[in-house]
Amino acid sequence: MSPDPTDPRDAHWEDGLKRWAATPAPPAPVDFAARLGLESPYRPARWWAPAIAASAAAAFGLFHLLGPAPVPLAESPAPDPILAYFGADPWSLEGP
Amino acid sequence: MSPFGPRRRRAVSWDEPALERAVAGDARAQARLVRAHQDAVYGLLYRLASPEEALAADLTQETFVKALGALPRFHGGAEAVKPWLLKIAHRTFLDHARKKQTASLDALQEEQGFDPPAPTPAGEALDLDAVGAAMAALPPTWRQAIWLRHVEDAPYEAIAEHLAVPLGTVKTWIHRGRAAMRAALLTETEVSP
Repeated sequence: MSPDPTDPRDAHWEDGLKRWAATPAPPAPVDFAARLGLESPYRPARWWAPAIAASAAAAFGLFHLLGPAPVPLAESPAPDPILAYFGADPWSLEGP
Repeated sequence: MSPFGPRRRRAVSWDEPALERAVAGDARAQARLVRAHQDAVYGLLYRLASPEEALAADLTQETFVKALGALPRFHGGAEAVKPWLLKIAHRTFLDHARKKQTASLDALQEEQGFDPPAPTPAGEALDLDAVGAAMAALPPTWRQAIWLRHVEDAPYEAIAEHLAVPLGTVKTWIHRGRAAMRAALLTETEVSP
């Protein structure tokens, strides 16, 4: 080991330096493995998860394509007063 | 960064079988190597590059690029990986410091001396922020030598070998670094005759 002449005045800052170095440093700000292209930071999804998601989306889409279009309440036709009086067949001679 | 503070990651285990796979070129094992040691490497470079956090991150990435390139020639055990990575981190920092000094005022500062900040008032405990500021004010090469000698307690010869620089250069950096730290962190009683 080399001779290391110590100055008594160094003890003051040496102690402070060691305490400063011992304070915890923040963790790495990014995942360097992902940044280097070694592996995605996200776990691969289960193989069946995309299949279930696609099936659900397809069923939802089919329902909206093939199902009855909903009629807004505000646009519903008012009941016909003639039909309401004579029943379903207004030309019937039987009357209401 | 998360608004709730630094994100905590699960500790990654690191062992001999993982090292063997990483040396053999398994990308998942290499990712494990990086994740198991990235906090230690970044922590060192964060101190050395303080207060430049972005620089610390860039140098951490450069360290791992170099390490993964040299991994097929690594012959130590799993415990030897961390010291090996920290050595690469030190050399990466020194390479950066040298490049920077050729084109900045650092070289001038190194030649002409160091401009110390105001002394610490007598009787007050040394403020750790002041220590960090004093370290940050040092030229990078002095800062690194002071770190190795006074934080890691490395002997001069080991520092010279670690940084791949002549022994005389290491002694000069440490001598100047000490004088600068002493001047920066003097108390008022030490300033007055």
